[in-house]
Amino acid sequence: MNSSQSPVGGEPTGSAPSDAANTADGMLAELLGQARFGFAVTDAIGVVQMINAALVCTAQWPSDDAAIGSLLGEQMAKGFPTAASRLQATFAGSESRSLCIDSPAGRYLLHVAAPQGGLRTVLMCPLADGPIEESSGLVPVLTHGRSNLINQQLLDRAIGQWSPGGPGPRSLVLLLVSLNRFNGVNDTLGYDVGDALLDLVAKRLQSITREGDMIMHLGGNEFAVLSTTGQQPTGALSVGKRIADLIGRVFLVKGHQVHIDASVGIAVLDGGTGQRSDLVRHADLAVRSIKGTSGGVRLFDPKMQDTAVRQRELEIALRRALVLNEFVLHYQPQLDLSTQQVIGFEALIRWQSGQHGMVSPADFIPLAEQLGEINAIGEWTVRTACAEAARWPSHISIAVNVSPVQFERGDLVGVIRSALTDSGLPPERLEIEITEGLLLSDSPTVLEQLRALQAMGLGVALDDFGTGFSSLSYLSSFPFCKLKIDRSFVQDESDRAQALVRSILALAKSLGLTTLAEGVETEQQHRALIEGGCDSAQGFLFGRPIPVDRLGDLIPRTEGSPA
Amino acid sequence: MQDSLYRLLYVSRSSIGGDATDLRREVDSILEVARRNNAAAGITGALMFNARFFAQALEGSQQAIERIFENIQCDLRHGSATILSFEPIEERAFLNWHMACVDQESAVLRAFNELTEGPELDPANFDGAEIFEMLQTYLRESHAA
Repeated sequence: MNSSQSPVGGEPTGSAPSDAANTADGMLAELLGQARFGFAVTDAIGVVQMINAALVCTAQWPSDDAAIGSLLGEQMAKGFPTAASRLQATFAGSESRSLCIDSPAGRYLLHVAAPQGGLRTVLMCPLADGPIEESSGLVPVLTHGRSNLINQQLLDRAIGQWSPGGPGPRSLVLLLVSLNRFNGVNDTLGYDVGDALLDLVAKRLQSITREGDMIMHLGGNEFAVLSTTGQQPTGALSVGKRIADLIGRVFLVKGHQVHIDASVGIAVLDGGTGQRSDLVRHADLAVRSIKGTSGGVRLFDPKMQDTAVRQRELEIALRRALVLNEFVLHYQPQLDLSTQQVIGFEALIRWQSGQHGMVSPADFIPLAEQLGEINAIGEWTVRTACAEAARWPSHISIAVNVSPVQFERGDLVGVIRSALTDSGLPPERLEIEITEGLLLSDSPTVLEQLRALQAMGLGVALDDFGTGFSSLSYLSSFPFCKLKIDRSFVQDESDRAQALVRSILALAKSLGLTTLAEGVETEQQHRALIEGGCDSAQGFLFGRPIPVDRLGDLIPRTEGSPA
Repeated sequence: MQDSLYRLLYVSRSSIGGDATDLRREVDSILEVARRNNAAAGITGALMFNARFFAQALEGSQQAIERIFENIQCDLRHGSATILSFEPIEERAFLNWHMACVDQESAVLRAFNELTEGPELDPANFDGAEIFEMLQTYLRESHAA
């Protein structure tokens, strides 16, 4: 739409009438661009000459450019398969016609005006289901079935075209609304309830926002609200809070009570966000910073960008950490409580990043699981631990933690078998530690793998026992040999916690499982465990995790020390 | 096929501040709009309120109730609405009432005040049958009077 005849550096061009025409054209184009009805002009056989944004969306073209020069009837037949033949006939014929056509996105009225032999105009309006309510003057979002891409483009375009105007201080505000628990609605109640819910969400958004604000369904569980509320950022925050409040209220949809809530991320132009091209990214960072909580409102803060940048850098560093040899195993001693002798070690991974320094496993293990790096890291861990343990006296075992992700993807059993073969470590000296989270998946393949490991002669220990869901049924249905009692019970010296520890010990004993108490730090805890009949323990009282070169203090080496 | 009848019972927290006069004025405006909309949508029902809570029964087709309830949920003069029941019914209990309203001086309202006493009352703890019974009692007694 840019004028090629810029007056800059040239003669003042154009006579008054053509200026007026340009302005009128521009106004018309702008109005049609914002209209919620679809509009197009085609030639006599249906080739698109011009088209507005609403119709580009409804016909599911990826962009305006893709639409121009294409056959409208052919494209629309794809989105409205049940009306395909009527559409083709309408565009092939030479008469004006009105059609009522349906798609999963809703029902539309399509009117094609065909003056003799000339260009045709096409008008398309959404028709509401059931009685039309007076208040619903505009239909904010009829976007189910549209691709996210188109909606993102529409949003970008709306942001790009916005111009400040009107009285009072005005700024452009983008509120990204992410619905929590929406996928569960689709999964349990079906897509028709999910779609109806999206319509209600859109209406609630509309009830809060002001005339002229734009509400878009970006796809899935995300909505965008473009607003020009006054006083910033207080105005935007109060709109955001009202959104979170209203969306968190119970919905009645097709006979079901539905509870969801909303996380709202806000970016304000000239209020933390300098360029309009950053609005979407900033609002997205804000909404992600509260995602996973039960709703809330957050204004973009430049620190979020720093966090996101650090996260990305950490990802990159983590992908290279194995190659750069930045991981190291530390070993924490485990004692037999009847003899007070070291009977084994738990291998604990440490990441000494060249760029980030020492990174806690609590930070990088979830990231590695998410990135899929955990399989390679897990393989390195088990191979390194087995190779090290093979050099220890034969009564000393090694325990290695295994992530649930390693059971889901990758060949865990094969990796462990190969690590044992290569190191020459007897299988009975290797123990793998799993957490209850693994068992929640209730997957038969998990059980198969655990049985295969057990058949190889390995021990399987259940880590952090008592902190998760701790269903007792796991204890009978999975092949464990050891329970590791979580530190939170061991360190709590209240009567109740101690009674709980004694009960766990008794339970394990009657099931024939050995027990190991974690996090033992005081003599008193130590004594209580011995009295309760606990088999073994680890904790700072007996020794912190230490690097391999200091293991010699605790165990004699069978081979000559490499140092 | 005629739409089957449903009844919705819910309790919510009032967000209307101010004194009894402010409350009365807001509720009057709520009732005026409700009666107009309900008449058009074939909805009958009854409302009971005090300074802290609303309790309301709505009867009509499932679709009509859902539409009206959605309007109610968008009203910022209340919040924390909890649905106590939403079930098919044989016949209307509040026939002829597009929205009855329990009188502030009535015995039923005193009972409602007692029921809603206490600092940390959660709307979810209300008993739908009890609320329904109170609304019915009020209509019976005020009719008899």
